[in-house]
Amino acid sequence: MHTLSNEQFDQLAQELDEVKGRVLQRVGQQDADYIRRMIRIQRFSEIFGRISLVLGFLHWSFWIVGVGLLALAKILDNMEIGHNVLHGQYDWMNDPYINSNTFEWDNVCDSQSWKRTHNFEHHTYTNILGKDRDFGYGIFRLTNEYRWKPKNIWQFFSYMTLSILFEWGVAFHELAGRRVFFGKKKEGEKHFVSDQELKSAFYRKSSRQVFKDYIFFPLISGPMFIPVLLGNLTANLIRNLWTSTIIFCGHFTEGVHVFKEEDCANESRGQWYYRQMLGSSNLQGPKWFHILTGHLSCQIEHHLFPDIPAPRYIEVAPDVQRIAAKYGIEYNTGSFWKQYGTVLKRIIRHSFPDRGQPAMAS
Amino acid sequence: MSLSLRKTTEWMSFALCNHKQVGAFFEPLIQSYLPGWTVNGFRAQIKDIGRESGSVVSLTLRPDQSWQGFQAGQYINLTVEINGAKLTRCFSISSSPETYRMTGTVRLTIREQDQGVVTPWLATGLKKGGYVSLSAACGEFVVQRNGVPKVFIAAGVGITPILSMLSDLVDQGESKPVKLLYYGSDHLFRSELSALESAKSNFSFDFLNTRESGYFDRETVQRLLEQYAPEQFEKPDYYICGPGEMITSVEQILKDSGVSPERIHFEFFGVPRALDVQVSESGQASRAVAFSQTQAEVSVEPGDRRTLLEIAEGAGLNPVHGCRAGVCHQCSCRKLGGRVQNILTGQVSDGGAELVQLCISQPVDDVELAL
Repeated sequence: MHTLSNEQFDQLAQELDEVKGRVLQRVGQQDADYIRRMIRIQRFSEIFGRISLVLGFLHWSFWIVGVGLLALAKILDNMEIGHNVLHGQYDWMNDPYINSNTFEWDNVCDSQSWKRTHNFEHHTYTNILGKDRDFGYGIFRLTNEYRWKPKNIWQFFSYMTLSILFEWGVAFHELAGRRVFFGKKKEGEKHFVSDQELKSAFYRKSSRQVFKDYIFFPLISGPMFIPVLLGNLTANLIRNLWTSTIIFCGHFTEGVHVFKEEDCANESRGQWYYRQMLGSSNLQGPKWFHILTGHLSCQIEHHLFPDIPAPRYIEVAPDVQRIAAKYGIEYNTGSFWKQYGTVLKRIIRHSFPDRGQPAMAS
Repeated sequence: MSLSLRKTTEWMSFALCNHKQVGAFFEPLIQSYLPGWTVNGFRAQIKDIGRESGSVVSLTLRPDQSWQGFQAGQYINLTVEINGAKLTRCFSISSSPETYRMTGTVRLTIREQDQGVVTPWLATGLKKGGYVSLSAACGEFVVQRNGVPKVFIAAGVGITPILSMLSDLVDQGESKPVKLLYYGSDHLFRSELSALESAKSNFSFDFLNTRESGYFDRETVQRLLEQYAPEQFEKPDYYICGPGEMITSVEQILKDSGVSPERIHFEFFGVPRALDVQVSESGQASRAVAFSQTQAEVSVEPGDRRTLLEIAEGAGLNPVHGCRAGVCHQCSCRKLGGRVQNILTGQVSDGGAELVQLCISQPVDDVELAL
C-alpha cells in the first residue's frame, strides 16, 4: 500500500494536522448554535409529525405529511445529530445532553454499544480486512480478497433486506451479535464489556423503541391505531433505506480501497491518514443533502477528522482535496447517483466468482 | 412504591423520547421562547453587573422561583456559556439572605483570575437581562447560631461569604461581640462594612493593609487576636476565608494559642493552586493524579511524559478506551479538577471540571479524575 516515502507520509500528516488545527480554532459558538438549531428542527418535526399522523382521520394528506416529518426527525436524529454527537464532535460544549457519553438516539441500536464498536473498530481499522467488521458487515463479499461462497449469489437480495431492516442490522452488528448470541469467538480477544451486558443493552434499547413506535403511540391514538402504527413503520423504513444507502456510498463505492492487516502493522500517522482517504468516498450535493446525510457526504473528511463538528467538513474539503492531489492520492467523489450506481455494481459483481481467480485469496 | 413509580416514569420517558425526563426532550424548544425555563438545576436572570475594584466584579442575579434560597456564607455553581461551551465555576454569595427575601436577588462577587477562562469573561461577556444557569446553594461554611462571640478573618476577595454572614448577623439582631479582621491591599465593600459597623455597637471591624502590617505575620496576628478576644470574653468562634496559605497559617496560629479545632471554621477561596505553570514546564514538577471512584492516587515524577490513560493503567485501573490516539472518544472521562495538556494540540485546559480524553492528556498539575 505504501506508494509514498516515509518522509512524504510525515509531511502529509503534518499538512492534514495543520488543516485540522486551523479549523479547530474556529470551532465555537457557531457550531454550538448550529447543533442546537438541528435539535430544535428535529424536535419540531417529531412532535408535529406524530400529531399529523393522528390527524390523518381528517384527510389522508395529513398522514403523508406526518410520515414525512417523522422520517425527517428520525433521519436528523440519527445522522446529523446522533452520529456526530456520539463521535464526540460536540463534547467540548460540556452540555449534559449533547455529549457522546450520554446521548441516546431514536434507533433500536443502543448508542453506547454503537459508539464502542463504530468509533473504535471502524474508525481505527478502516477497511482493513479482518479487522474492520464494517467492511461488508460479514454478510457481503465486496472484494476479490475474500473467497467466493455460494451464499454470495443472492447477496443483492441480502443487501435489500439489510437496507429495509437497517437499524436492526446495525444493532445486531454493533454488539457483535454473532459473537454474543452465537458464541463465535476469536482467540485472544479482549473485551471491556461482557456479552451479558451487551445483550441486555440490546434488549433494553430495542424493546423501548418497539414499545414507542408500535405500541404506545398507536394505542393513544385510539381509532387511529392502525394508521399510526403503519405511519411509524413507514417512517422507520424511510430512515432505514436512507441511512443504509448513504453509509454504503461512504465505503463501498467502486474506487474504495481495502487493506491487509500485515500492511497496516505499525503504521505512522501519515499512513493512517492515507488509508482513511483511500478507504472512503464522498457525495456531492446541495446543503440540505449534506445535512440529511449527517455530512457523511464528506466521508473522506469525516474519516480524517472524525471529531470536528460535521458542518466544518464542507469547509476543509477543498484543502483536503488539494493535499490529496499534491501527494497523488485518489480523492473519490461524485454525485449521489453516480456513486450509488457503483455501489450496486460492486455488490452485484462480487456476487459471482471471479474469472480465473483461485478459490483462495492470496 | 414511589421508587418503582419513579422507575416506571423514567422507563416510559426514556422509551418515548430517549431522555430520562420528558421535559429534557422539550427543553431546546421551550428555551428558545422561555430562556428562564429549565428541567435540571435553576436559571437566573442577570439584573446587574458592577465593578467593586479594578479586578473584582459583582453580578446581581435573580434566580427562578423554584430556587430554594441560601444560608449566609454558602456558594453556588454558576454555569455560563462561553463561545459555545458551558463552563461551571463556584462563587460565593456576598449579599444577605434578607436581601434575597426582599428583592429575590443574590449578588456574587468575583475576582478576575489573570489566566482564567471564565472570570475575566464575565464582566464583558454577560449582558444585563440575559440568563445563566446555577445550582442550589451549597457549602458548609455557615454561621453557627450558638450564642458565642465571633471573630471573622478575611483576606482579599475572601470577604465575600463573610460580608453575607455579617449582614445576616445584623439582620438577626446578633447581641454578642462580632469582630472582623480584614487583610488586603485594596479593601472591598468598605462602605457596606462601615454601615454594618455603625449599625451595631457590638460590631467592630479592622482593615489591615498587607503592605503595612505584613502578610499574616505571626506576631501581628497574635497581638490582634489577643486584643480581639481578651480573657474577659467568652471564647469566640473563628471564621476564616482567604487563600489557602493564609488559612493554613492562621489556623496554626490559632491552634498554637490554644483555640480548640471545633471553634475554627474556614473555607478555601479562589484558585487553590498557582496558575503560573508554563506549558513547557509541564512534566518538570511532580504532580499527583487522583482517581475519585477508586480512591487511588499516583504521583507523577518530573519528566514523566505518560498520558492520563497510561498513568491510570499503571495504577492498575482499566479505563474503557479505544484507539489511544484521540480519535474515538471512548476514554472520555470527567476531570473533576486540575489542569491537563492536550498532547495533540498543546492546549492546556483550565482547572475546572470538564470531560477530557485520557489517551491524549497529560497532567500539568495535580489532577483529579472521576475514575
